[in-house]
Amino acid sequence: MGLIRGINRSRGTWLALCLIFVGLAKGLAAEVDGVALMESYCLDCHDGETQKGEVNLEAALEAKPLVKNLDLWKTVISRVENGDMPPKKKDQPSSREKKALLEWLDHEVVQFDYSTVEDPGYEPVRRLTHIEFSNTIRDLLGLDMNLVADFPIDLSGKSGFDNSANTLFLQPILMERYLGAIDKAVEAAAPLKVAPNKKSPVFVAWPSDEGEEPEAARKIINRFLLRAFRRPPTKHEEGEVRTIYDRSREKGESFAMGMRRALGAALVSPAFLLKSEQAKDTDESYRVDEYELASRLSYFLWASMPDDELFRLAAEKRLAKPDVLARQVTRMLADPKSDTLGSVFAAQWLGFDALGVRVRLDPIDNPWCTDTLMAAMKKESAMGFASLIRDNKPLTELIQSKTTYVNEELAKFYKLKGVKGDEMRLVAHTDKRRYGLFGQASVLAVTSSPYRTSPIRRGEWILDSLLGTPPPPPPPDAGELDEDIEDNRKLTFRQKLEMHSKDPRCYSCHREMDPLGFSLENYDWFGRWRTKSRGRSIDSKGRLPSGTEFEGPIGLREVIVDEKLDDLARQVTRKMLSYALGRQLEYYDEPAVRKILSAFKKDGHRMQTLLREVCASYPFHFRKNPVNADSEKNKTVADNG
Amino acid sequence: MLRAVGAAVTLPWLEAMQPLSVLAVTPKRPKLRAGYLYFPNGVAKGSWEPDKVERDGRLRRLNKWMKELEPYKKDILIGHNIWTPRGNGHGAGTATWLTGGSYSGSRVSAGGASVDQIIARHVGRDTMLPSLEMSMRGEGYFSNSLPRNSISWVNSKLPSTRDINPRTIYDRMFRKASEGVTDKGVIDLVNDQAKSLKRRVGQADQRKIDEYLEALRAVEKRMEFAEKQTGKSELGQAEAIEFKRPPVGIPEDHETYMRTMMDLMVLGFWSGATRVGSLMLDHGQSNRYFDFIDGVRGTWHALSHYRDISGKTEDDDGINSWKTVSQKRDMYNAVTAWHHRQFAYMLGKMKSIDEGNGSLLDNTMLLYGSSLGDGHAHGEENLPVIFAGGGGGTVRSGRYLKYRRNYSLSKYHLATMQRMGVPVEEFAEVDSPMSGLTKHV
Repeated sequence: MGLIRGINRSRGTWLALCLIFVGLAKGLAAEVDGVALMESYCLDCHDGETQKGEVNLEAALEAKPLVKNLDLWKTVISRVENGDMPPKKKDQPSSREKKALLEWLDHEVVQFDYSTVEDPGYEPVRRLTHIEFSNTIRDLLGLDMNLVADFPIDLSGKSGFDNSANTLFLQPILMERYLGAIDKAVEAAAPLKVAPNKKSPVFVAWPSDEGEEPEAARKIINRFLLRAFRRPPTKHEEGEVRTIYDRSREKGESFAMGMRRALGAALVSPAFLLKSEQAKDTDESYRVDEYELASRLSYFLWASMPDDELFRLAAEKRLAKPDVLARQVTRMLADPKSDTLGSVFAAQWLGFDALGVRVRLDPIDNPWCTDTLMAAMKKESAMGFASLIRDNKPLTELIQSKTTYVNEELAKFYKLKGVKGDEMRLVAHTDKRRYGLFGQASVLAVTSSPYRTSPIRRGEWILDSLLGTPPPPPPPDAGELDEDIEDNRKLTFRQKLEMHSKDPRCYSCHREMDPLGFSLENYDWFGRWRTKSRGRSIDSKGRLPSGTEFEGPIGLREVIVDEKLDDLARQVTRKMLSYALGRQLEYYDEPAVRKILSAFKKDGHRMQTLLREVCASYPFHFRKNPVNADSEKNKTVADNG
Repeated sequence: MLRAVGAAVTLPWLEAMQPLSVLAVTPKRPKLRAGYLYFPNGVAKGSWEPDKVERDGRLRRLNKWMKELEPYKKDILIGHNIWTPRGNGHGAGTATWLTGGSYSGSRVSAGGASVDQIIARHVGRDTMLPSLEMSMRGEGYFSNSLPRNSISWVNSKLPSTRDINPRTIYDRMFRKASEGVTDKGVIDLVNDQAKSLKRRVGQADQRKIDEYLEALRAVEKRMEFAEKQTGKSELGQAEAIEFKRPPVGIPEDHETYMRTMMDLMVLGFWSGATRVGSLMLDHGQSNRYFDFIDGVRGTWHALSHYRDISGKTEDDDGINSWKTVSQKRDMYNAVTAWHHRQFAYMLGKMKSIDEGNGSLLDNTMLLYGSSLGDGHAHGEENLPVIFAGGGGGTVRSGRYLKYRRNYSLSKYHLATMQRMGVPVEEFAEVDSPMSGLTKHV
């Protein structure tokens, strides 16, 4: 029934169905085999009822296409490949069956044809992050105040970015803080005793006598609402805010006080506090409007509201034109407000925003570790990344840059001479080993335990965060270091780890992860160079599964640039798109990722090309209503931690 | 509106809650309260069993790590073999401790609303704050991890935001409202705008607008409450309980900070500002240093892996090491005992407040415990939990609840909800309340 109706409804659906049938016919034989094999060897434990290890493959098999649960299936593939699953005590597939199963999975998952997918996804309504709130108030009111210091911190979940709608909650405690902050902001913006600052972006008019007041109020409110709501207000909205002002004046309060109340009302409005887009009642995907596009651009590139030029282009309906948009991106990247791509995007992507929260030392034993040093370390990495974009450098410079940003304290830490004062500034490294990201203390410290490096954590950080190729989770019965290994105190830490990693099940991941991490062993847990650790010389040589041998940070840089550049480019693309859209990426974003990536690569991985391509991408301009709010039901891997 | 006025702070509506030495006896038993105190990282095996227990389950002597709780052994039930079948681990276990569900990080879901929030929904409309969610400020790795910092869930996908700041917690309970630029007219306006925004956005986004509206309504309600209270008598609250408005900022000393937070919960319960509250004594994988305790070295999480003395567990710091497992375990136990001491302080406070028909403690149901069993093994079985308080005469305290098999914590949650007057017959995976609260097990 549903099928017939679907066909009648639109030709597009009919075409899509044809494509699906063709696809089915192609993979039909394989399909039957694969599902049957899964049923005989996996679903005993991993069906909807038992869900052993909270893995429900029955549900995952029903979620088509299988790439919907890409990570889960990748884990399944690696488990079957390595022989971890099915467990030894259970029925084992014959080698022919195992091969068939892996081929089927490869066909369905790895080789999946994404060209059949066309879904831009959906950017849900969300509140502003604390950084966005702060920046928006700054630009809207022309104020430089820290209003968010006592806000409850933004917590982060799986997407890794705090602008992800699914972790941005608005609870009474925060609402109270909003109200308090807004009170303070409008008090500062509209002083009662003196005329406001001439440069105030709010008071575009100011009455010189009572007669001029109504017109001035109209002008101010109209313009303010456009900027605060990031779209033209409706007549009704404008009227409501105007009423607040009128009522205040009727009570005998001054013009400025009336303005305070009107502005305050606009700022408490959900049209200001929430970032929302207008829905269209359709099952098809649709373009976001010009004002929404302006906000998408400004919150992505500036973590703040659009400026007047963006508003003007939106009003003229020209912003979505490719050449206009490209020029705007270039213009916006030249603005210092785009520093947030380093201080927010890169900081959260690469994890160095956690510095200072994670590493807190007692000031008696470690007087060198000051809050100002940690702040400088963070700034170094943030400014470095932002400058790659501003100067349109190729991505390889992230790894190889010969220059960096330091102030006196950080320069001393790196043993760089001749830097005086607290200002961060551009300097050239004199020591080759410090070039690029791997020489930066911020990332070296956040990937360490207090007082102790963790080559595994560093290796995992490189594979997972930096390159987006995480090792599969450890096999279910993998222990931590074996006790008898640990007891053997004559061995170095590295030798012990190597023994642990010889276990074939552990080895498959560790042989990739460990050499990467060990190549940075000359950096201690806070990023200081050392040649010995607990009296033993450091061995920073490594060999990748590909056979490449390398040593130390210099070798690591070459490995990344020579062998891993495609992974790095793909990861920065995915992360950038995820941050731009304020959501986790889904399987249907893959076509956009590939398109951006190919243009990015063609231009020698120049950073501005990446940014422009993200802003030109399909999901950045379109949205599609979700089928239902809980459409992600089929995600089945539980995350115990 | 939310700005504070004046420095002289009084608790203006507390006269109704005067201790009975001052005011006439209220014939009616004061309403029951429910409190939750969470600590992370589990405990060492063997440290939760009392030394001596009577045949009928009565506690005769606790153990050496619990000796601070000895004076309160008649007010508590010590659990054995309590578990959370669906939630485990530092992240997932923390997020589901009070929901009885299972956690999904990709969907951000705790499997259901938490017991404190369900209670708040039912009894919270009669109090200044429907519930109180407090946390000690996190330290170290994972301080901004969502699951590790969220035990209270309004619904499966909406964690309650927690307050770490004693001053703001106090102010939300006790400060009078004053006029800011956002007055009642503004609230009406934004309510109206939220409703029209609701029409503008898609079906999938309705929930987010509702979240906004509910947050606003909560603030509005609190303002109205405060409004009603102003002008009431400021009579003699001082004798009742010594508590000054906390200074701005977080106290440096961890014990002072924790006791201040406990005081705030006691104060909230006692004054009637709220009837349900939760306090996270640390985030779910705390790697805080407790070296202010004599003889303790290393971070809490490192110590919790007490059977590994290699100095190479996740949060080991490379400068602290241990000669023997028992030495490391003792340090771990000392951290647990330190928390018992703070808990004992809170029990003492609550016991000292006479409500006419028993003490505040008698009229409360408190859960104190962790979402991990043995910290080294990381299990969800045999969780360290203590049920404290008399439940308004509905709990037979002073016993060891030694279940022979795994017994779900959800049953305790259900029992508490029913006593608090929530009309529920089932919760998470259970459909009957914990019978051990009144009967020998």
